[in-house]
Amino acid sequence: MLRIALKMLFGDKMKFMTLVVGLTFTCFLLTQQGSIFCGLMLRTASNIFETGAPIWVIDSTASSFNDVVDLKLSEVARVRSVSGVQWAVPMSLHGAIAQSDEGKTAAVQIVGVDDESLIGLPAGLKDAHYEDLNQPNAVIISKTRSERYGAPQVGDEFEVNDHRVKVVGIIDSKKTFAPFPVMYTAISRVQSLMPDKQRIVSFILAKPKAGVDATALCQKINEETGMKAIQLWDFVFSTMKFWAANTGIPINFGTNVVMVLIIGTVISAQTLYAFMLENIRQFGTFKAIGITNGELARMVFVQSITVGLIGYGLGVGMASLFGLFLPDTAPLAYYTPPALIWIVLFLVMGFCVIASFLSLYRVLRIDPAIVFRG
Amino acid sequence: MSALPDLNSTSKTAISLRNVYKSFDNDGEAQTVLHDISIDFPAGAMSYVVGPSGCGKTTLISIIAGILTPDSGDINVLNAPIHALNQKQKGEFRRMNVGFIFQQFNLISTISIAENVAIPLLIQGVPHDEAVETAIEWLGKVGLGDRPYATPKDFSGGQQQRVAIARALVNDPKLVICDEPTSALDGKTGRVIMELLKNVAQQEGRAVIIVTHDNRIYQYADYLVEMEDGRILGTHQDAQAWANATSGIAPSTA
Repeated sequence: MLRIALKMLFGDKMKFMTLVVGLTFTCFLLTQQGSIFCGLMLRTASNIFETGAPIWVIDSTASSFNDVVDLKLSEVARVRSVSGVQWAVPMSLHGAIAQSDEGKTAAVQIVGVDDESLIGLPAGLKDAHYEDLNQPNAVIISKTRSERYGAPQVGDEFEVNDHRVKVVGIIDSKKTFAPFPVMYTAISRVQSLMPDKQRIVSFILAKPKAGVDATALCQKINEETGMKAIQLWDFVFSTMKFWAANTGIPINFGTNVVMVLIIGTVISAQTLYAFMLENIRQFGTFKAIGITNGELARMVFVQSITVGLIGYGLGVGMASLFGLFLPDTAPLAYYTPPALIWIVLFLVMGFCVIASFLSLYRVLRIDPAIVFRG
Repeated sequence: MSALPDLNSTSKTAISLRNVYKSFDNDGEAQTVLHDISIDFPAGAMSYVVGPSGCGKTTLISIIAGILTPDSGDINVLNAPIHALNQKQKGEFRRMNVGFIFQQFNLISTISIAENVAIPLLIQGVPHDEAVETAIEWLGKVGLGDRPYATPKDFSGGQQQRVAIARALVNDPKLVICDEPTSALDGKTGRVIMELLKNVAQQEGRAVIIVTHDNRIYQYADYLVEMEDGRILGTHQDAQAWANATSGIAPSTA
């Protein structure tokens, strides 16, 4: 009878298409909106990912990438002195004003990296060398949002806090959540760009020696330096949490995703439920003929799960294509973590099963005498 | 009033009801639709149940088929004590012994007529291909063997009823219950269908029960049960004579 159940499902093309379109649309929206939410949250920590340091040391009162309390340069040496640390380098993050020779002015973020190792510079430098950062007044700029201060090219000069700087490279880096253009320079130069700053080190990036447990090392750094050492993913999450707590955007967007989930669930479950009820006379006929409740339940479940899987495949496929054709530098943040794919599958199958249970409740209680009614 | 049939010596009883009551809840009040029904239906015969709308005909056949449970009374169908069976056992009984023909045909529009006919066999657990093969044989018997894979919507009302008859008979049931089988059919098709059912009814150990208002088909009845207000008004061996004698019902011209 399962073959009959599937033919009943596929046979009425209009009802089947309505079901599939409803479920596809729900899965697409869930995946797409979820991906935008994940992309948005990931952008809050894009600097951390691009830097890639496994351990971040910050002031004990600081909490995230965007909520820093500057440290003394000497603190770097204290971290280096902790046994188990392979290397530790300073990194700074400060706001400044950039102005092109044409007078275009923009607030920018300046990231200062260790002069010698240049650890902390993101990948993606085009037609230039990272070592060029050692040239006098050199900066590497991120292409993203650079048009706000005139979109300088390699070799161009402009002003940062009234100091002349020269572009030695352009990085095609990902957008950040903070709406500022980003540029990179040697940390020693940051001091000259901000002469009034007593402390310029915002983070100390560190890496454990081979075989050293990162969690244990963080604990050790905390104990020996009094600072706060955090592993990369913990720092990512605390930064996401900072943005979630201090701006309404992620919460509002999260609410949007939840609304999509609720509306999608209700619409899909209702459509599926209605489909089952429209077949109630047929199910009644089967019951009159003598089908068992177990067989009837199997028919209903096969119909629900089949249509759910088709809708899921199409919806998630469409959302994946949407993300595939979206460039990394696109204004729209988009990231589909594998977990999201599983969550959507779980949800869709969940409400298909719920709709099955609801309709099954009706189907199993059909008065078979319905078949004699006109 | 209840009446017992005057069965001739060669007939046996296929269905026996004793003191059957059935009521339904009507806005909190019990509305009795069958009052103390005691009646026998003969085997090897085509029995009609007639009466005005709402007199309890459909309730009666639903109880005989084990679809509805009576409030009280004993029902024996083909030697099975239906009143003593649970729902699962009743389903099993119907699956193995009862064929249904519905007024609305109740065919599934999205599957082929062969699969529609095969449904009772599929429910019995017969493999799909084997069931469809048997169904096609039965479609041939009702004159529809040339397009077994077409869907019901490709057929007229009369042809669809023939499909429904093939479905009712495909698993060789001992009891066939029909609800207004000819009401949607023209006279010629109705006669073809009644001849088919008559052939089934006349086989030994079988019975066909038909609920009908259609006076065109009374000539096919072997036995007629007349109902009114949930009671048996009377039984008749000669249905056509009864029809002719009953005022307001025209003699059959079928």
